[in-house]
Amino acid sequence: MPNRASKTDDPNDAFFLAQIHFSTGQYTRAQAFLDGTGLIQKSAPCKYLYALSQIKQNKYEDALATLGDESPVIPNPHGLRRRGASRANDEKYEAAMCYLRGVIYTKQGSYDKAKEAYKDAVKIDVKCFEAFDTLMRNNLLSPEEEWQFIEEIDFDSMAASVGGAQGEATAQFLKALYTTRLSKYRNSSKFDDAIQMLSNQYPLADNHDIVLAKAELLYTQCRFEQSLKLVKELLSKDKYNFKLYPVYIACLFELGMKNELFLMSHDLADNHREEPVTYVAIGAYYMLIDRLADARRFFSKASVMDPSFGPAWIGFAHTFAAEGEHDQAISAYSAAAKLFQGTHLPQMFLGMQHLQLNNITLADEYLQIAWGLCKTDPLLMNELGVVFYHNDHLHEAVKMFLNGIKLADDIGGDPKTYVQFRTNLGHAYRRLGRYGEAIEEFTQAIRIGGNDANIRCSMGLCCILEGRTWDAITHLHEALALIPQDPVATELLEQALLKSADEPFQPTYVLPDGRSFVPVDKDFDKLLGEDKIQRSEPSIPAIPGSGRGHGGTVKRRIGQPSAKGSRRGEHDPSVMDVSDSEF
Amino acid sequence: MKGRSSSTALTDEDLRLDGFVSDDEEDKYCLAKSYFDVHEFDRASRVVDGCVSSKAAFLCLYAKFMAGEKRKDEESEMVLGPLDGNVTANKELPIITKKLETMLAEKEDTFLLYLYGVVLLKQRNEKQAYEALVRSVSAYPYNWAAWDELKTITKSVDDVTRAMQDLPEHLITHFFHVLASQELYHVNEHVYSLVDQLSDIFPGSAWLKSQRALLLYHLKDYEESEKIFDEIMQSDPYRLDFLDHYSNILYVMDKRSKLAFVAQVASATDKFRPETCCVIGNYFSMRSEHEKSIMYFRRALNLDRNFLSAWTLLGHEFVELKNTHAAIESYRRAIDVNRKDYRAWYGLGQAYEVLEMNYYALYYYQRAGALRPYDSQMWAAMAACYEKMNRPDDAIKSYKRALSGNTSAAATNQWDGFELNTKTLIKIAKLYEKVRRSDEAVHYMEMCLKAEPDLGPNEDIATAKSWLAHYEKDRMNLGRALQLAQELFDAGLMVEDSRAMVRDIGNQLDMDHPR
Repeated sequence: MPNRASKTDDPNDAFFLAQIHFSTGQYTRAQAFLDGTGLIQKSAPCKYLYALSQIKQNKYEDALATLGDESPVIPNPHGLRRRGASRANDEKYEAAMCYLRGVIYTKQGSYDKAKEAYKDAVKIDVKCFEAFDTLMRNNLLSPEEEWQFIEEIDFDSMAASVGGAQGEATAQFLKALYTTRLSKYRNSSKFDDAIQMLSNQYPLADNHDIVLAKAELLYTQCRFEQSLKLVKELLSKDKYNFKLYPVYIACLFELGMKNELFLMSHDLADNHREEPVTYVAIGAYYMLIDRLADARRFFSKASVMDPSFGPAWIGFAHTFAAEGEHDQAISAYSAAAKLFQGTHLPQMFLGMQHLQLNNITLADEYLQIAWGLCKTDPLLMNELGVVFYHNDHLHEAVKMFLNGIKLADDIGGDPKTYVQFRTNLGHAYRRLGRYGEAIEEFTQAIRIGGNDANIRCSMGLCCILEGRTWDAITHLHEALALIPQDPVATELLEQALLKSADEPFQPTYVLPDGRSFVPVDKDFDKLLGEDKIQRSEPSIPAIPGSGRGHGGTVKRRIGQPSAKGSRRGEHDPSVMDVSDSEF
Repeated sequence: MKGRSSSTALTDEDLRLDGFVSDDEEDKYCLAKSYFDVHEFDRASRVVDGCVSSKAAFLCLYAKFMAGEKRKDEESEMVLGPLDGNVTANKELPIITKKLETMLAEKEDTFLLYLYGVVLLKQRNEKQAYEALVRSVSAYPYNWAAWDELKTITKSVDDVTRAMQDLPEHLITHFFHVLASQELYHVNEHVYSLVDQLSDIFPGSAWLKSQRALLLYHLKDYEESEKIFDEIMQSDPYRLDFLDHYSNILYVMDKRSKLAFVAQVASATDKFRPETCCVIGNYFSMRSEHEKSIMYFRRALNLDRNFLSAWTLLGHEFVELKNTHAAIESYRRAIDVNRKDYRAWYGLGQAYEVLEMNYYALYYYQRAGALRPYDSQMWAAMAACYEKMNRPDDAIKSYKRALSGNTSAAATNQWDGFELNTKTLIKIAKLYEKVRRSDEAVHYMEMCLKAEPDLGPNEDIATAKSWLAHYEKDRMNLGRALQLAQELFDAGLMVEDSRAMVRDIGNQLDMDHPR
């Protein structure tokens, strides 16, 4: 074979031979051969193959040297309307080489350069789907960048290559398809339009990618059950489609479905040990059953296997956050944030961690960044509201929580999100002194989300402040029923009981005929004849000879009882009178 | 199964309740009902999931609800264990509530409304539950389960009166009135006449007879009550309802052999009913075998965690065994089931008094007193708490209210009668002495003397006389003092003291008027 090639001197033959070597896995041989032909600089395909073999041998710097640092300068793509087939071919390889450049930069850790390289790849050749996929899959671009990017892509080249009216349609099709992969945060209307078009004009309504896009959108809006349903349908048709698994795992985790997660991760582990998704699934299961150390191991394994796999990093960071190791969590989240600038999640989690550490200003910064990325995540609104609350901007906090509730209403969210909002709203009202509204919100929260000791304590506190002591006591009892030794509740309860003991207790008496009324203490005094008591001089018990104010002479002797009484030894009529008159 | 072909035309009422949208749904309903009857609730719910006809829709949600309750009971494990109580909840409730709200927004179905009321009550949302239940019974009054739930919402006589205005004019409403009033221990002419009227319409009704017996029980007329229960047992020997109340009556009357007899009868009929277990528990309690009785009360609760009497009685048993904490827990659960049981509140108060947590005890006594303001026992207990807390003024106020208890409420129509309870009078007087208001003290001591003609000489009156004698002596009112001391001496009470005083006063008088 080699002899033959050397005979013809045809670059194509050389290329094919090298390709054969490459396909059989003899990368060094292919590389050496291509070196020998000297075609590397002349022919784009050869260059590409050479670089590819170097990459397969993990010689990244060499590959970069081959490809050159910079992507070829791209003149205005819209100007290049008419292209020949060969130019198109060249473009394919140029784009492929840009993609390789991107891969190398990723492996070396220069994510910005990698991003640029991927973008260039797609700009050069719109059909270079690997580059586009890599960009979108890992959310490397921020939403603005993404939408900007899609405007820059030259779909018209597609039109040109196909030709005619169909070319236009093809271009539209491709644009729509790519649009579905973009971030859902912005321009959801455009996204919907794209899906509409694809579903109507092409029989793609059930296409997996599109349904997956829908499922991801639902997940972002916290509608976990619906998302799960869609993903399950897809999985029933295509069980090992790894693109689906991140959303699937996330939905199962949020809904707490341990059993299914267990089965699924075992299945993946049995069949696909080499995929990072497997380890993310296992890690998620361990996290769900609270075995955080194990979870951490698996997440770290997944992130080592594929450093650009977002879910692995976020899961890793979550295990730290769940144990309260805020610093570790923060560093892990920061790594994720650097890698995945398109999703707001790492920033949001960073903000939450800083809140836990009480760094309110830092938290605010991160949360604002996240807010800039995505304005439709209910949880994010909750966190922002909390920041306002801690900064004592209570009115803004209230507004934020109310907005959050409205948002949750609009997107038809899970009731649990409401619980968070209403509870926090209740706390904000409480701080503002609007106790009635606070109690109302807490009641709603309990109705939706079930009894919670903290909410009950807060309700108790509000009731005390409003003066409804008995209601407060009832609520605090409920709180203590849930958490028997809760110190806050016990303390509040004692305060409430002390207060209640000081308040007058006047129950309603109901008469047999149905009338009811509330006698006061004075009524009882009167009933027992106290108003008719004739008073002697006040206080000191032994005051001899003090008259009862009954007319007649009164001789007052203040002093020793031994003074001779001037009273006659007769019955003092007044005493008897008092007793007699009532009966 | 194409049953339901009746010869008479179906009226609108029938269609509303029985109407199946399609035969398919009817079949599904029958299958689901069979599963439901053998307690396979999840299965039943799944079969009729998505059906539209009212019966099927109701069964779907109701089966889910029952499944949740069953799981909740299983998760609660031991009675009075750590998982028992509010900690474990029915997990299906939020889902069911949401579904019901969507369904009820479309059309008002009486049974769905009833279920909505039940679910809201479980979530402690009483206002909305009340509205839902009222709507349900207004549309279809014969659903006694709905009335039963309503009775737990009416917490006071006011509530009952207000409910009467909202409820429809119907025979069943009167039954409800009887039930609600009886539960509140509110006995009066009106309720009695209601029972009489209803008995005219339904002469053989054992339920009405039981209600009458219970009303008499609340008036503490135990003999009459016992007679009625005997009649019921004769006419329907296998009836176990309300037997637990009967056993309470026999316990109070201390009729051991009869209680044993009733226990045997109940046990032979059905050992595993909460009522039977309560009767047996009472029996053992009477024989002072408290561990055994606790075992039986626990069994009653295992069978039905919402059986009120069992919780309260369990609390009493723990008090006997001096296990105060368990008693408190039991009483608390009793109150959770029914806020209107004054015995549970009272029991809580007593338990906390034993633990010397007086502020807690006071609150619980107040709750009991709010339910039965006529009962002097509650007020006396409150006053004792105040005394321990060193608040003599409040104690005095409570004692005064205790005096004006009026337990035979059916007899008079006034709130302001009162009885001369000498113990209480003495206490009031002594408290007044403590706060240095001697005039009032004297007043009450004198009142004590007023009771003598009725009660005869007793210790308290002796104390009163002696105190007054000393008081008058100190005030140099020697004649009166002598008279009192003489009376004491004659009655043979406090002999030493009175003799000494007679002598003293005699001497003093002699000194004043030397002969």
